[in-house]
Amino acid sequence: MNGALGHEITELLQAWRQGDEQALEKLTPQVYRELHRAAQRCMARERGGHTLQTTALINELYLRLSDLKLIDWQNRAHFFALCVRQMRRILIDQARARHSHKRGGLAQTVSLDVVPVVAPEPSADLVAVDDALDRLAKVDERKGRVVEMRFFGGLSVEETAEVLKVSPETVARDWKLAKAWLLREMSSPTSET
Amino acid sequence: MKPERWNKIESIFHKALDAEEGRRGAVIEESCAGDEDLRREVESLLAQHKNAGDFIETPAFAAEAGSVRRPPVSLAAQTRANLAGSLFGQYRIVEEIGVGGMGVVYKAEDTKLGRPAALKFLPQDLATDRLALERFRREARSASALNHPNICTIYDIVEEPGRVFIAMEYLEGQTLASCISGRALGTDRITKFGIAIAEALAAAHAKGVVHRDIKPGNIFVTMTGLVKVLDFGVAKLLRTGDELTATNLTKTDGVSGTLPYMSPEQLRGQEVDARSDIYSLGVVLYEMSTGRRPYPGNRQSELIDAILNRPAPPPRVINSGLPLKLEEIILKCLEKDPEDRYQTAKEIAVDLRRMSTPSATIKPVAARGTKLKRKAVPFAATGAVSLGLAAWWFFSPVPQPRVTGSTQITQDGRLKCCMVTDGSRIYFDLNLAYQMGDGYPILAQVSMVGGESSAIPKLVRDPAILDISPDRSQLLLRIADPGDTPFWALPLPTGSPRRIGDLVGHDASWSPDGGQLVFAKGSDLYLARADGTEPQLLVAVKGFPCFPRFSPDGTRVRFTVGPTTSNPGSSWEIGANGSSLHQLLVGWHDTANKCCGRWTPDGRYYVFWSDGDIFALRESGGFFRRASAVPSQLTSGALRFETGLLPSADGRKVFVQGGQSRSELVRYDAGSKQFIPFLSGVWATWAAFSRDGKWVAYSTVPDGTLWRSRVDGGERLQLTYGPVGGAGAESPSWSPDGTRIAYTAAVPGKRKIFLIPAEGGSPEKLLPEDVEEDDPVWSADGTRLAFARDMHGGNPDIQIVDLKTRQASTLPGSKGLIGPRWSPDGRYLAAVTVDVKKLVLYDFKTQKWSDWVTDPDTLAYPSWTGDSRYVYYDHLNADHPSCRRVMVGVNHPEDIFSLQGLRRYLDSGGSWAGMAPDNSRLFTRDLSTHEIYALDVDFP
Repeated sequence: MNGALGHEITELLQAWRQGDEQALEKLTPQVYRELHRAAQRCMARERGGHTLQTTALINELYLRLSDLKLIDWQNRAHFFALCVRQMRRILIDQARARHSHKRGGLAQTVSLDVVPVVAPEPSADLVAVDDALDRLAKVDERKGRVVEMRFFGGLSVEETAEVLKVSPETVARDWKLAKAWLLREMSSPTSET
Repeated sequence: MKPERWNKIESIFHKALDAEEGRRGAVIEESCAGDEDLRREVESLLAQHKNAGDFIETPAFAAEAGSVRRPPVSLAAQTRANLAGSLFGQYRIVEEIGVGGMGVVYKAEDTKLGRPAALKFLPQDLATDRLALERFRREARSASALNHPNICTIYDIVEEPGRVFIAMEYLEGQTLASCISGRALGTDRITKFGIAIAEALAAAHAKGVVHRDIKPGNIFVTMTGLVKVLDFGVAKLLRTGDELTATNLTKTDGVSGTLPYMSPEQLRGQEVDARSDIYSLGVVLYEMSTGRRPYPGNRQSELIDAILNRPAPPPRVINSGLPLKLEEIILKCLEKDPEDRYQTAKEIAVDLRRMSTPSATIKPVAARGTKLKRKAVPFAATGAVSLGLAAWWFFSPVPQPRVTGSTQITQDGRLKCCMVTDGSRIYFDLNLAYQMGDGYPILAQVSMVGGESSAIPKLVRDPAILDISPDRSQLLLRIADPGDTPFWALPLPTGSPRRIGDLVGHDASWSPDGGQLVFAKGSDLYLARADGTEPQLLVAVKGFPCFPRFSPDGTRVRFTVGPTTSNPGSSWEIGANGSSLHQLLVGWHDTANKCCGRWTPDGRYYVFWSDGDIFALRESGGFFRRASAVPSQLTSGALRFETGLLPSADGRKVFVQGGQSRSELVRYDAGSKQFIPFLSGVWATWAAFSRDGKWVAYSTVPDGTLWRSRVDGGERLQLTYGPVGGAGAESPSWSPDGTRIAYTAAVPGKRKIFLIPAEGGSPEKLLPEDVEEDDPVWSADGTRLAFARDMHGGNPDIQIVDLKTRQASTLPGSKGLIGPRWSPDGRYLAAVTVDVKKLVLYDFKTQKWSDWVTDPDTLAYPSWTGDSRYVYYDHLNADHPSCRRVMVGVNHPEDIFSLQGLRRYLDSGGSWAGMAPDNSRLFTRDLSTHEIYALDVDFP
């Protein structure tokens, strides 16, 4: 598993560290592949379980790399952000696939039954969050990234603060406002698809 | 928006939040200084903030791991915010409890009677239509007169200016639809629920009320297991509202609403009576019994045709464990002509009840269990003989533990994990969906001796069981989100969960005296007091520690370090005082994953999982001996075991979770870009079709029996019976005249071709030679068969047999080729090189081979289209598998669709793919299931 691909990533990271911006571009699909594989492997071995997930995935990839003592702190934050971005892509692709799957076919006959159940928690449709998040990023880029790190990357407030190089307090405040903004955005009729 | 404006909004937003609740209005007032737009903006954000709750607090990966929960989108968002606390008649709204096509449902309090109620508001258009309203009143009134324990009581119909709503009994639980979600229920529950629904119908019918919309979505199972039929008499009216919305939300070709449950007479628009409800109950019983509705088809027209004209496939075809009597009851409900059905619901209740009394039971569970044991369970069935499957005996001075028998504990088929036991019951997490990474876990329990699993009311969102306290009074839980989440203690049998201090982590367990907790957080292990105070680092691990468990004497902790890309999962031990950290099982199966070990209660054995099997390590072999170095293997064989395992409290059993193979055929639908079940209701693979496209032959999973039926599932006939010519039937192929089927079956050591009449009969071996044969295909005129010879040996080639003389000859130039596929028009024969990287084509006209397509990865299961112009095949790239096709005369394939995300069923030949008569590609989807088994282990 830790074969040629691992080496390639290592080399690209080294190049990037030495200032080769193009190396980052080349690195991105590699990270995507690695994360994707890790995600699949994780699901395959966990089946019903639920121990290793996002942070563990990124950490796994990251531990392997940081183990090589190749990345300095600045790049590490950068690298984490890159991972999260890729993670977001994987999740959204999966969600879109699943969503389209849910929209047709007899098995998925839409049932609109109103059921007296325990109160549902406000919950999120990934694709809708993703769309709204794109719009948030246009209004306030940093808040967009806070949500990206926390929601798509599963990072804690502290980790997010480290990656974005702001204080945890700022992240916490951004998070509050961003959530309210996104909820409002998602419940306004114009944003429905 | 200008940045300054946004900054202003932001600063007022936080200022208001930082202010005390009572001062907020004033703070906003002051800060906005008369700017109304600004004020509205801030207030709307604050309102959202207040309602935000857990919104996106769960990282997307976890949300994704479950199904994507759609938010109660803006449907009446405005109304929602306004209604809480307001009074309608005597009802004060407490909170919204659901949103649907027809509007919103609220939990309310009846201020006069002091009881909770559910309020269902009618859609506006209905509420203002005088005629409809009058009809609604009439029906609802008669329905409200129904008083039956299995009917959700209607308290009141309230009309307020512009608003009409029904007040009814408030229930907590789930719909039958979510109980079923695609899987058959156990016979006990089918009977219990069936009787309850039939009784409810009988009571309503006696008062002249017909439901008209009986379906799992209208049947509620409360937390205490009571069945309640909802919306009596009003369902149809409400449904009108639903359908309006349904058309907006579903694709036009999708079947919306409740068509699948409609009786033929209802579909025709004829007057319906009680017997229409009986038909719908039949569909519900069918769905409970098989997990599916009687008729497949994804188009409305197909479904309507099936309901009106076709007989339902017998449910026992899908679920062979079903009692025959239950099948008879269901099929009688589903008769097309109301006169042929049960005439009253009471009769159904009576028949179901009679069936469930022990004397009349056909012991479905036992029958199913026996079958499983015979076919799949790898360990000795009943304790008499171990069949050589169980314990591996090593030549060793210490006697080895061995498995003497096994019992299947659960019957639900679903993914489960995280077992703990209180000595009489097993508590575990049950995944409501069947696919990996899909669905949320719920807490469930089952008796240690087996039986129906039952859910434990969900008090913590997405709970994952970690441990049970030594006094068995509480479960240790966490929320199954990625990363570290809070720990909860849930009192047994019921009670409110409480957090354990402010600890967070991803795994934990109690010490044997219950005084301490060992937990994993990030890459560290900690010890804390049981109340969560005084956490202190035990060890920092390079990697992902999980599954920490104390030794029974409390002196040591063993844990697993999760697998990484470079290292398999490994087991470790550390003293509870932090001393002597070391890895276990070093030098034993070093490349295998090891996980999730637990001690037997007496501490003499450490039982653990490794790569799909369960092992036991003896801790101490005697006074002068250290622990045995070689673990004993407890399981091996057909079932693949999951990581969870649990030694019983009495030390005589080990509970394990094993998987069982099942699959279904799916067709890729180019229009919707989805894989749609094909030939519903059979665990099948290897489908082949007659030339006229009306008949199909297939092999069942996992036993590999050959069957044939009409393409709609009718006239099903089992063709082969093991073992000779019947075991592991594969590669069926119809003779062009549709009278015979060629297929391969395993004979000792070899795969050979057999011929069998399509109407049934004895299989006949095609050729006597002792050489491997595969992939039989007929010539267009039916006089010859081509097949691959010796495909796993050193000299594969393609043979052509004259069926009259039974003389086989080598197709010239076919050395090194396998997988022959004769084109339907007989002109070409496509084949694959033995390295499965090249597709080649033989032209019978020119008698020449030509290279067709080269695939850098793997090229599998080529199939011709009916017009002999294209060959479709699987392009099996590890990361991006896809279906490709290539045209005769062209050397470049086209990518048609991706195969990513399709969970394919794997058999000895990889994962089969083929072609339906309409030239859509077919695959086999893996639907394997998982159960808990108890192994009786003799631990010497």
